[in-house]
Amino acid sequence: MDKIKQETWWQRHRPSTRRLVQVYCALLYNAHLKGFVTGEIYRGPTKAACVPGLNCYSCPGAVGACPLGALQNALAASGHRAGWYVLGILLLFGVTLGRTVCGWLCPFGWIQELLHRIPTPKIRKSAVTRTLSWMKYIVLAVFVIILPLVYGLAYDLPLPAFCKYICPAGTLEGAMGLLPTNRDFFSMLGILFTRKYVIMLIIGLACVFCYRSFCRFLCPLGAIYGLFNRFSIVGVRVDPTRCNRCGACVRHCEMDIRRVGDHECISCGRCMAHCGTGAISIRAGKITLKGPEIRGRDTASETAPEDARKRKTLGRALWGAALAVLCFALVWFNVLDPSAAERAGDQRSGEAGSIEARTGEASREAAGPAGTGPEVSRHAKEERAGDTETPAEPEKKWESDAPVGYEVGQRLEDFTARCLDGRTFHLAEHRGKIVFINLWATWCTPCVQELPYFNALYQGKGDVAVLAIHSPAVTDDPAAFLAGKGYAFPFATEAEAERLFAIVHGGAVLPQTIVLNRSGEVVYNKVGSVTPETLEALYAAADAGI
Amino acid sequence: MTRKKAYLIAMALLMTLLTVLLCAAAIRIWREGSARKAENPLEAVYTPEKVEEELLRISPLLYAVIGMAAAGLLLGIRDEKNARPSPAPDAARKQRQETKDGRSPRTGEQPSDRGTNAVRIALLLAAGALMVLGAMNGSMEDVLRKAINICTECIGLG
Repeated sequence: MDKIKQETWWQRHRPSTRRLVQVYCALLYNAHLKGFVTGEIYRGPTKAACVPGLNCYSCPGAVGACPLGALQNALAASGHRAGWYVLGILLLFGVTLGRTVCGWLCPFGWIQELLHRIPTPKIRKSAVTRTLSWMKYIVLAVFVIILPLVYGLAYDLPLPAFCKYICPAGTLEGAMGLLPTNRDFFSMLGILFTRKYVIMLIIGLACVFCYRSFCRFLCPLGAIYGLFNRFSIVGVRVDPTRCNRCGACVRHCEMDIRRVGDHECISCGRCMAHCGTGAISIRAGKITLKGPEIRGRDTASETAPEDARKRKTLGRALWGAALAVLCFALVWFNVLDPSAAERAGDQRSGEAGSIEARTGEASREAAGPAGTGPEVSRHAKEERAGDTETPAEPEKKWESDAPVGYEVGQRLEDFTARCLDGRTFHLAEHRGKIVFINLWATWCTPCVQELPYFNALYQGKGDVAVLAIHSPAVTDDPAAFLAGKGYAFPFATEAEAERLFAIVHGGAVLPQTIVLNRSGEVVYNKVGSVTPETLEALYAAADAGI
Repeated sequence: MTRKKAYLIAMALLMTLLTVLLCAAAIRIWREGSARKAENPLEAVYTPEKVEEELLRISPLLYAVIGMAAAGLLLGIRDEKNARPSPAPDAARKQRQETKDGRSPRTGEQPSDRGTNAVRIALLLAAGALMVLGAMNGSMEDVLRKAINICTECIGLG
């Protein structure tokens, strides 16, 4: 009793090693901190690597990919290519760590535990929660495996169903992370966001009352790793020679385990403090990472103090190395990363393209009649290069003296694009028509879903020109993807993508639609999916010159 | 009812109320915005101004919840009932009974080390092979391309 009274506030509330590791991992996975300020996601090569825990790759800070999102996309694309890489990564994490990931390395697990700290009455585990814990396997089967596979194979529609309909990490980290710094994204919000936002709030409230509700009842990643818990190298282990089957470990555990180390065990190690015989330890194969405790006392340090000192020294060295890695990551991803410099260069060249065009426009005006400025000489160069199709001169009544650029009110820079069907699309030729430019990708569900709307618009109206431009990030051959779909409007070749994306200010967010009025001026340039009604309204607005 | 219990119940009610109000705000914005969009398809359902207005309305409750939670955490208030052990699941009860009766328990035995190690090695090799295969067939490139571009509906922007 006296001993308890002597404990200071800090001793009672000091973060455990596990908590420190959770914070460390959350920081490391989201080391691109400046993304929260600039509102841009990280686009460097480390995103080819999946982090072990649930961390949305659309979080502005994320420097790695989410294994669950990657798995769904791989399954959705399995008609085109087998997703061996993601399966290998999941197998690697499962065999080495199992659900130790959930207990130690998952940022969303940490968030759930923080919410559970809020002082309210708590719902303890029971037969009901044990039954509910099987729900995550149903979520895994239906939303992560079956739906992406069926939609990908049967309809050629990429559908990461868990990400799209359920994942609270995506809503919290992706949407909530991007919205404050990208106010133009608000125009994209609709029923999907409303549903996901409500789901996120309900899960958050459930976590306040019920320990790790999402982890226990819904998380498909935990379901996958749980399958490997029996074989995982790192995890909580029970010494059968010491265990007296008292069941104290199971009774004190807040997860729905039947025995320590089963598929529900997240290897948090809290059971160690309640074991009366010191039978429980956290091991990596034969190596003991955290020795057995008897009623909260680390017996290993009492029976073998030399080993305990060595372990302490090793622990400090590991923490030092880990902190060095974290500091390096923070500096690298926010300051030194060369891929960030490349992206800044791309942005500058995109802007310069607009500036050059504006300069060309100014010198054209200064020179006098059309046909003497740099834009015409660019066309002349293309002729010399062998492109025998020359654009027709725009009708004088549709000429515009607006500055050249991609923003509303500016005149879009004239361009020529080679198309998949062999046609050449000359923007200047379509003066007098309403022009719709759609930025899309085969891996983007709403992009693929709205292509028929553009096709209907193109075929329904005689004074509309449509051009679809695939993202420079190509995963499947667009020509093969489009074969047999019967779209009448032109699709630019992949070779044109980067240049055209720069002209219209396309970026990492898809789909994007740009609408030009009959004079070639931009009347709409926004990210977000469109409906047939929206396209009709855009046509009317462009026609009215709004 | 003790003060601690009253505090815990008050926090539970406030948290629930806050969640309900946040959900209601989102649904209200969506309904009003959808009605506007039905009349003019170019209108946005959500606008920053509308969202800020709703957040401002809820902010007193939000600050109250944050303040009370912080106070409770600092004072170490918690549900003491939660610290007590839960009833054991059937399997664990059976094990204890078997141990009491002197019978050796059926569950809780560890798989043999050699068998486990063999499975681990096989799975590790399989993981390595799959990752190399994936790098060769382009599926690693697919992961990168997907991760560096935002599909808006995948994160609920739609």
